Amino acid sequence: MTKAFFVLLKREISSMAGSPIAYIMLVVMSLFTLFVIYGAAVNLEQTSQMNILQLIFRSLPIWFPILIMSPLITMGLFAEEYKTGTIEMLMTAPVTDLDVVLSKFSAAVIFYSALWIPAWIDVIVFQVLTDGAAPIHLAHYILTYVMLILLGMFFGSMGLFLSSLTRSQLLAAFLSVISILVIFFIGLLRYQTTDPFVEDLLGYILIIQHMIIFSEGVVDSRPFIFYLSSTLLFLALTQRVLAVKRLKA
Amino acid sequence: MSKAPSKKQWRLNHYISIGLFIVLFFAINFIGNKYYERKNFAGQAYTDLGSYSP
Repeated sequence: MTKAFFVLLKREISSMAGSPIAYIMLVVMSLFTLFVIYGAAVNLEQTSQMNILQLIFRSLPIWFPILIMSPLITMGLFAEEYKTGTIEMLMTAPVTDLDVVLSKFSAAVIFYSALWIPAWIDVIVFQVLTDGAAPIHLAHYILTYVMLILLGMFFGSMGLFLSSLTRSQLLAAFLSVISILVIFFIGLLRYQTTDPFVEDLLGYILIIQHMIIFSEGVVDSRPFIFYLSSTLLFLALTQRVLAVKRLKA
Repeated sequence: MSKAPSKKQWRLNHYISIGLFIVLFFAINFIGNKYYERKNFAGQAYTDLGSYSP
């Protein structure tokens, strides 16, 4: 990591922290996850086979913030720079394309991870209030958070790439949401097919299944490989887009 | 000092690198799907609400 990376990261984080949208997202996210956790806690009475984290990620509403937050965070990262013309400054500054891409990506992942902190506090408060009657193993906490961050990295890198392609934030967000929804729903087709090859292929990218497995405290190497390699691919593609922009500048 | 590549050469390198990234991505995922590990770190930690009444 170069010094330029940390300077750019600080710039991105202070720009996010100075934006009122960040606080609105934090409040909306806190209220929404509180609502989902309350729903899961109510359902917990009817089942003795799952912990609250498993119930949370088996419910459909929790997927709304997971799928929507990343595009909202990443939509402006490059599109806004193109629109305001500040990309010219970045292109002429003594920084590499990789520094620019990694700093924006890291800032997005840090902010995305911070958005989940209220949800974690809610779950811990629930544990304290119920006096550990519905126990959660430490592995459940850690692995669920790891999986959420892996998803954030994957969706964040995809959003960053799409943001680097256009000057319009709205178009970047739209393309990002569509791409995420396609990946999300294409995996669900696994339950409609009987062909073992297709079933294996779709199961490999079935996001809900990955989340459920990790929230059960099970580590599988396949989601790690899939999300990390996808993240690297999108970051590399974003770097290539910037290289083209630099050539044209 | 090496000479900067011509525009045509730069473009060729650019597309080759993108192609390599994509090939590498599919190769990694193909191998990752074939040879994988799975481990349960939590055991069967099922919820017991017998003692809890809201």
